[in-house]
Amino acid sequence: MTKNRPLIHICFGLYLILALLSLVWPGMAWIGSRLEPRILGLPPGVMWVAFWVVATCLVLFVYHRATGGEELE
Amino acid sequence: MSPVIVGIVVAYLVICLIIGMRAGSGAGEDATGYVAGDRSIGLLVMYFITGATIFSAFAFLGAPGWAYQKGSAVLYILCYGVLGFIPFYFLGPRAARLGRKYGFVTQAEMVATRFGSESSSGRGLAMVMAIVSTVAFVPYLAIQMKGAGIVLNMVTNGEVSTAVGAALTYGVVLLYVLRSGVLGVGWTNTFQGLFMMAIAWGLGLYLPYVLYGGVGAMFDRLAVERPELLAAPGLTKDGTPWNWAEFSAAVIKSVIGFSVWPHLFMRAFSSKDTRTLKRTVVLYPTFQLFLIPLILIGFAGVLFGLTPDQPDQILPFMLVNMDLPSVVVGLFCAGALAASMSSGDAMAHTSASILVRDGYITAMRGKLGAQAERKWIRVVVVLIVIASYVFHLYWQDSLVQLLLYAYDGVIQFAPGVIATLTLRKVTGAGVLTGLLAGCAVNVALLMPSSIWSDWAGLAQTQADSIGQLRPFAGLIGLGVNISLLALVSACGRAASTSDEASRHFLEVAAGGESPN
Repeated sequence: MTKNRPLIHICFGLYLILALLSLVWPGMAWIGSRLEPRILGLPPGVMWVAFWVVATCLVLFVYHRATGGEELE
Repeated sequence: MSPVIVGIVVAYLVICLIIGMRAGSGAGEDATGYVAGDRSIGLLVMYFITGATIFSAFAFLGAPGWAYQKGSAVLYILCYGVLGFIPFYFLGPRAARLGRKYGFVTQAEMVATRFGSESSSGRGLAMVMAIVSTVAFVPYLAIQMKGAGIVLNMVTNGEVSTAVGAALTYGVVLLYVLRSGVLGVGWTNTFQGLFMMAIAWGLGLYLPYVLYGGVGAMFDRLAVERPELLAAPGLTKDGTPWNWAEFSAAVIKSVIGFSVWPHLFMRAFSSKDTRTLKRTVVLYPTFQLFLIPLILIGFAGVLFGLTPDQPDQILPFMLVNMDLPSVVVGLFCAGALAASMSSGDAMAHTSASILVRDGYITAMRGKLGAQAERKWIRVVVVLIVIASYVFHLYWQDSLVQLLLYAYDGVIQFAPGVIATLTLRKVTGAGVLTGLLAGCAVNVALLMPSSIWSDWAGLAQTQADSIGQLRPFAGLIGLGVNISLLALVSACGRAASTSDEASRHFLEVAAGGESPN
């Protein structure tokens, strides 16, 4: 059982705060208001949000596994 | 009107009808079977029922419309979707355990039971939540109808009016929702979700390629000719720059509201187990990737050359003005209808269930047998669809704006719902007071400035100042809501006698006691 590891919960909470601040002001203002560089032809703002979509999915997956989310009740 | 387009649309509607009608054949005859699918829904259907319910006509037409008119302002939709479902990872399983233990099928009866469904505050909560849910759902359902109507109107070159298009589409929805309840919604959403994902990605890459030679080439031209659209936070509908305060407020209120929509809790009550719910949340951000091609389509419309009557029409407008093969137009049409129907069916089903279960049975102490309850939910489904249909005929602003207003209302549920599931030291009176005050502040700030000046006698400058708070109405209401919840709960603790019941309720929610 890994349900009660406080470090995992703290890290996850910090990640969520970081993600939120990256998707509103100031993070989004810092990246999203630029026109360059373009990645895969897309403006920085679109790529920035796409990055957070993928990162959040991965972090959620790790958190889910590490906190016993796969256990059946 | 091309017979190929009509054929594809009719085939799509018939498939939805068959899937939806067959889905409910194994469900129980009582309200739990109709509203919660006998608590048997697995990961595949749960993934699509949550994703497709949220990605709707608003996403299929509203998102391209915002990208076309307001540029990077549309990114707020992606931003809130990244984090919006995460609170449900914690709230959903708690609600599901309580649902199995106490037999809940709606969010409000869960909240009311926590604070005593026989008490005045418990019944008051059930009534207020039923009313606010319905007030939020009717415009949400109207969005879907408007979207379906726009699509059929555009691809038939106006031969089918928007009103008739919406009526035809929602006639089919009514049939399978009445027949199969949540299982009909779930299995049609699975089909519709897969279908619209394929269509969105297909068109999202195809249109920029046909019009500009590729996505990169499209943004090259936009960076030269309309750079203001590419820099976040984009523009307002007047073409002036949007500001970061309003962009951030739109993201934050949507993140808070996302996980407390009443229909999401009903999905929690329908789930097979808590693991299924958690897996759904983990997989959910992948649904956001489906929005990216829709945003590309909106940007593709900026330099298209021709202008639709309304920004929300940009996607079908481009399709019918590009001499594309009828098959492509027909498939788009079916995909957009899928987006509309996959949300609208759940809205109709949810709001009817809430009005009967919470408004009549819990709040008004109405007595209904299992069969009668199911029958009345069906009657109210029809009434809700009619009310939304009438509403959609009169709404003229954008689809996304309508959704933002709906979020202003629904986020007022957040403090009460979170407190219900996690906090012991709150009272029903505190939750009810906070909810009422939050809603009142929200409504007051959303009212047009003319009401403040003409009816309340304020000077025009004062009324305009209040109007400037409109984008923050939901969040200001939320602040008042939380403050009063804490204050009234603190004052009422001495008189509270329900500590033992609350402790037991929270133990079940946390998984400390077997819900079975």
